[in-house]
Amino acid sequence: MLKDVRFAKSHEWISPVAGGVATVGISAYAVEALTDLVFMQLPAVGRKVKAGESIGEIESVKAVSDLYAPVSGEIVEVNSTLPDHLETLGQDPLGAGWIVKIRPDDPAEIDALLDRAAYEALIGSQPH
Amino acid sequence: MLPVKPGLSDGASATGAAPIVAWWDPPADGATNMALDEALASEAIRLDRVLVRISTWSEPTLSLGAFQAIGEARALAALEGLPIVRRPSGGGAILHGSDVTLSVAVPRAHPCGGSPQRLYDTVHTALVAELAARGIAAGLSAGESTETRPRAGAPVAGGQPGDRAFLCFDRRATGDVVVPVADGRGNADAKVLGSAQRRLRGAVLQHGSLLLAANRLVPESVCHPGLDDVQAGGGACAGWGPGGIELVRGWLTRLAVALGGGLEEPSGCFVPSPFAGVEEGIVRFRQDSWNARR
Repeated sequence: MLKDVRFAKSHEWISPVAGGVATVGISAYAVEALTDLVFMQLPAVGRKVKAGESIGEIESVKAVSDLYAPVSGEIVEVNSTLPDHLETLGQDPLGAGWIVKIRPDDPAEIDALLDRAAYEALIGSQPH
Repeated sequence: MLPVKPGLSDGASATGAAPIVAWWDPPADGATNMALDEALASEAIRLDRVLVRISTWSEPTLSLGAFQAIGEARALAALEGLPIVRRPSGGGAILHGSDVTLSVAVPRAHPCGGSPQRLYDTVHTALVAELAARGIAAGLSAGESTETRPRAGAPVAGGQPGDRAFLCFDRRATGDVVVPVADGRGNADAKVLGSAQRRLRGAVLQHGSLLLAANRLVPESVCHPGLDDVQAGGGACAGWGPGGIELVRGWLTRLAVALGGGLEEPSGCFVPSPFAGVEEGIVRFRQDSWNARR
């Protein structure tokens, strides 16, 4: 389990920066809400993104959802095995289920996101 | 406070929940329907209201789910010549022509804007209740999880986990509305309503296709029984005429109750804000860069 992970309100998580790069995924709450994932589309490596911009899409049996960049930066790596093993998202969303690695333009953007307690309060207030 | 559209209430109701707003739109082509539905979601966010658009199709059209491969549609000789549009929502392909589409846009903060299944079940249960009031014993499918029951000879979406059926009405997901009529493919019931969602940052757009009658314009291999096949003589709703409209109005009324508010039906068709980008959307939904993206 990653320590000091931060969350976007749109349910992506992002790790602290290490070696100039942060890891991004989606929360266990989001995976559970979507249920029965069937397809995922990842962004291209090298793509520059703005915070809040769609960086991919994920489809479940009933819904298609966008994945959003939690911070601005450059996509430097994608978890290319994930689309063929979507069950990993449910089994280990904060570990092996990582989605992209991003080089943030401004690492301070990460600090502005929700910490774990704030995120848990957010999902506790969400409609189920 | 945001201004409301002309002809709409300010959202107050006796129950405290804002009435849902429903527009009955004229038939349109696939690109126009998709662009209007995207605009409906934008307006749901702007107005913070549940908005509904009831629409039909001006010509038989194949709509693909957001990630389905267009090559599979083009490879089906039975579908040759049909216009194709890719929906922003997921799910399987639909052959439009004898169905009516209920597009529901729900703000994410709404109680039905969270779990995908909750909105699915709310909309579908309202139809089951309306059909029951008309003496039709419809029910919700228990589903097959990531489902699939492609009938013999029916197209299957290749490269998808679980050999998923290509056509929506060959699939069974939890909460699909089914009626007790043999579908001719070994199933004891027939699916008459299936839905799929696009979950946007501020709203959920749910497309629901209610099969009023079998689509006789397409070959038997891709034709599914509809509501009119439930009763001998085709009396369930008699297609998209007064009977079908009455059925959908009853469904809408029950849906409004389930959502805790009333129902507003402004005169005229849905006219989105000039900033909703409908014209650009129509162009995009006509382009291969969208429709053939997979």
